[in-house]
Amino acid sequence: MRFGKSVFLTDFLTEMWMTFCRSIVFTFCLFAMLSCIGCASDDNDVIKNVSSLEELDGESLSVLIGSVQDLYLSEKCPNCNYLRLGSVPELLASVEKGVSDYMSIDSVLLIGGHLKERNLKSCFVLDLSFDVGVAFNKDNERLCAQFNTFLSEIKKDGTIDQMKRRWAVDSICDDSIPRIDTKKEGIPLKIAVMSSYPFEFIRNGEWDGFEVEMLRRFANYIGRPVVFQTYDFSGMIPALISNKVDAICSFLYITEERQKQVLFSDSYYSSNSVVISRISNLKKKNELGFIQRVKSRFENNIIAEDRWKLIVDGLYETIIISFFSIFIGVLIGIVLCFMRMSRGFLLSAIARIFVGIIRGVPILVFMMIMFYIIFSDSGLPARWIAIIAFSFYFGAYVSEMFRSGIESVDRGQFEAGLAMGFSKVSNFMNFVLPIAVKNISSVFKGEAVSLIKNTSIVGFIGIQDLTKVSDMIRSRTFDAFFPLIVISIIYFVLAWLLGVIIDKIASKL
Amino acid sequence: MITVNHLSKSFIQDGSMVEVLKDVSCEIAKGEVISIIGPSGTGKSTFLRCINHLETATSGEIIVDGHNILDKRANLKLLRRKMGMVFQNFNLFECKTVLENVMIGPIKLLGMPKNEAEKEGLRLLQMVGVSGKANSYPSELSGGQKQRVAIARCLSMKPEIILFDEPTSALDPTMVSEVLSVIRKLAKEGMTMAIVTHEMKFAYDVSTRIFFMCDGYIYEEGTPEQIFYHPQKPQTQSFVNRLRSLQFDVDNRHYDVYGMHQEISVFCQKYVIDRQQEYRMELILEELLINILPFTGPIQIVIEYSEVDYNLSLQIIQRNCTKEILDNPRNDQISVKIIKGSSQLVSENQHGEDRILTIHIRK
Repeated sequence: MRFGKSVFLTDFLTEMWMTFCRSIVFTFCLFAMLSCIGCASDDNDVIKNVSSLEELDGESLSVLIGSVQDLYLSEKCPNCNYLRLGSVPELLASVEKGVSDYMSIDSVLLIGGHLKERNLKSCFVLDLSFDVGVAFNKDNERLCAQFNTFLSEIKKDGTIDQMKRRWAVDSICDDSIPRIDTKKEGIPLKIAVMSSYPFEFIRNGEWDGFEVEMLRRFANYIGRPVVFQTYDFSGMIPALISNKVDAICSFLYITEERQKQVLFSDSYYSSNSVVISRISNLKKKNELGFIQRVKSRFENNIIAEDRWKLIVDGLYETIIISFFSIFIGVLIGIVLCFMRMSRGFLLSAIARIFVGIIRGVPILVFMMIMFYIIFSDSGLPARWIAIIAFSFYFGAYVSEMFRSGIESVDRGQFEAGLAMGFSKVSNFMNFVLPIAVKNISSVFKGEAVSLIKNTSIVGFIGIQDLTKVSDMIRSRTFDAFFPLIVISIIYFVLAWLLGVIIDKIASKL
Repeated sequence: MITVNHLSKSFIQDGSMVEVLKDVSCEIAKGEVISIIGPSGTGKSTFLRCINHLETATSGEIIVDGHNILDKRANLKLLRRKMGMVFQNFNLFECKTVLENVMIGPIKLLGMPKNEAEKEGLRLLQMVGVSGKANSYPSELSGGQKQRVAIARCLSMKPEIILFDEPTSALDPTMVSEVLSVIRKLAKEGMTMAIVTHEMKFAYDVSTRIFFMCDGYIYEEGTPEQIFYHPQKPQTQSFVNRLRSLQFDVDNRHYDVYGMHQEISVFCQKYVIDRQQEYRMELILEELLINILPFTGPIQIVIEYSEVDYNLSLQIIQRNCTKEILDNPRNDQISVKIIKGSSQLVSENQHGEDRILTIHIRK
């Protein structure tokens, strides 16, 4: 296609340029955010040394959104200027860079956060303590009872105290940690976790941490294998209720509201919350140059503890979900397109309604409905439920695209073929389809690229894709931004490769 | 070869039934070249499209080689292969090169080997004079070249008849002749053809028979000689002489004569009427209106111009009048002289209560 080639080239360049621009803008925003955060604090501003709630009231304060500290402090210190963030690394970064002057968090979650190096210090302890327990499904009293017996045994023989000292006091993360092997055969115990250091995190490609060790010991105690699945905090209790997992063990406070929904074991830990502030506003001079800083962050976030393997696994998950969603989605799109264009009123109405509904519902909500309601008891792996959800979503979008592509082909092409004696099908395949494909290929490319980016929400249903993996690394290294930049580059490369592949396929047709 | 009996076709347009073809019967024999002429919107193209079933006729029958094409059991694909179709908008396969356009039919439908189809395709392209563009895409060709490729594509299927649906209507005037000369060549070689066209001279030259279609019927048919020089029916006459007319109703004494002159000058420009003729007509009208016609009742003025023989005529119809208009002794004799001097033929007669004066303006 001589004519087609030039269009191909310009399309290709435009698409590449646009993708490039998008990622540049994204990275720029990040850097701008970082540098703004750095400038936000005034050097003359003195940090008060607060030691009580009364002194804290009126200051700027970062908390985890919806956390107990959030609820408690909102009530006690109504005049504070709250910044509600989603993860511990972000909290630390916000105080360190001067966006807020104070933050409040469970003290144990700060282990590994290197407060001194970040120019942070602990101010005072809040009068806010909660017991932490394992949550079970209300119908699963037997498992809960087994766990309670197990818990009382390890309390009695001192194992739990050793564990607490090792993980939450000393926090030595090396090979001195005892290895606990669990059984390989049998029905696995499925545990929902959220990935927060030092309770559960991935080290050298395997789950590790206080709660992980405890549950491995418990699994051995009842003679079953155990698997861990990451969930978003808001998704864990629904997953437990819909029997996607057997238990939640993720530093979960025993509260009255939660007790209405799930069954809690006895407490194995008591949390206490602290308020943290900067030591001084004087900026530390960076001894290291830019390149070296990037290098050390790269080593810390990507190389250490084989974290790159985690990224590779996440990338694999993202690619699998994207590829199958696009492939099956195109097939669904073709079926919907022909239903929509058929003369039968019923078929076309069904397709129209279906497309209308799917396009009207946010993909996240649609995926959640598929996961928690429609396929809740199917035993289908989360990955395939995500693929089904994205396939329908993509199919609904591309069906309309296909339809407009086909309708944009001059009817004369079709008539000319008919008049020569071609059948309707071969007429369509030979003369209509190639033009339609050429017409829609650039729009299709955009839609496929946005599908890849949309798959970043699969973390909500417990899939460790690229985005989720970066969250896990962030929660382990307490580095709020570097993993994000790394995965945004990977997404960019993925989108670009997909564009190239689609162009190759489109020019073959 | 093709027999059409009582064909009718209706469309539903904007909720109401439009009967495009009312009752069409005809016969096309092998070797004939039929031109279908007639005013726009009288179903010529629809008729042609019904023959190869691109439009489904409402009733009637179309018999091609003994098979009724409207029969559900008829092998439509096979029957269509016998009938090539050339469209007004060319409809070349845009995603294929010129050569592929003429190769794809033989390869996919006639089972011709590829190299043979290529040889045959190049021969056909040579015949229509576009072999130099064999590897171009249709979008790179001019309209005339596209239409010639379309004809070659049609011939590649070795049809028994070719249906041309206004083959030159979408072309620039400069490209019309190149397409017509290809069709002429085909006619010479004895190809059976049915051509819907507005090119009258071409239709006269090339056809063995002419169908004049009007109002959903074949209104008159005959040899080119009969239709163009001795048309029997009034609508045919008006059509073949390509009469253009302009009419004024002067119904009061204060009629806007300057407005009328303006309209006449626009009419003359539109049909490119000779300046001399236009001048003479204005002179005659002026003399008539100012010096001769007494306003005794409403007057109708009809100007007619034939695009075939370039005759310009003026008709004055005076209602409720029995007196002579021009040969009245009371007239200003200088005015009468001017009128007679500017005209070729003047006749005056009584038609019921109206007096009609017809003046053919000198060329």
